Amino acid sequence: MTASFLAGLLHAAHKGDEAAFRKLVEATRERLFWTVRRMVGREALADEILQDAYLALWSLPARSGPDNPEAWLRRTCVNRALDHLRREETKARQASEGTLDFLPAPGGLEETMGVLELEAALHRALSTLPPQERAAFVLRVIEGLDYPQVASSLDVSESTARNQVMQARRKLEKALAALGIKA
Amino acid sequence: MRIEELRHARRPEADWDVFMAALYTRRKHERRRKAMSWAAAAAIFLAALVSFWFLPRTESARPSLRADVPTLSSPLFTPTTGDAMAVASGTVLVIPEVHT
Repeated sequence: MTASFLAGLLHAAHKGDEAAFRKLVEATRERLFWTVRRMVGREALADEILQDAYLALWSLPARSGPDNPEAWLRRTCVNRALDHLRREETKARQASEGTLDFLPAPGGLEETMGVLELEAALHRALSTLPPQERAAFVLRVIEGLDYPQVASSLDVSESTARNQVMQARRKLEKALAALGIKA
Repeated sequence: MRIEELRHARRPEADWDVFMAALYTRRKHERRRKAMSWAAAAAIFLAALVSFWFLPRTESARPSLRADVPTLSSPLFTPTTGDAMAVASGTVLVIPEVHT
């Protein structure tokens, strides 16, 4: 789906066409959901963040609708997920005053791992990363966005985004190697 | 399986049905909440407008200054004992006699 097609759907939705908005949601929800889900680690929370973003997009005044609704939604979702992760991180730090240690799951090579096991292992590994690095890694490595898109979603410079992905990759490689997964 | 393969993960359609139902319910609640807050704001505005329109008239209709009695600002009026005098609040004061 091109940005202009999605912008057209949004324009129609702002004129009261609910079917157009439904199409827009259906065209974008899958990738956005997995991005947020991998960042926050909880399905219900990912749903809530995604719905917040869609409702915010729908409530925008018609003339200030974004040219690229998917990029706008991704940025909104990532920001909300980051806010959540930072709050959680602060709470966890205050509660334990300790560090989150990565606990490797018993055994399992990547070839024998199913999607669910891989998701679970990845989530455990990702939860050891700072929120910003986690978001950068998910967007670049898992979702396959290019660096300008990652930088725009995180509202940082391209070089910062590269640096965050590199740092995340280095930390995750260690953690995932124990599970036999190539990052 | 490599991590990049997770990119093609799909969520079951039944989960999306629940998601869409929740999205539309939230949208409906959001619109209702907005409509109610607009109605409340409009009611407050109207109440303010009505009170602004009527209060000054009520105020001016009060017999604050009586035409038949002089006021302190009346020209050439020097109040003496026993004179009646209207003040801004509408009360008529009578200057009492002073017995020495």
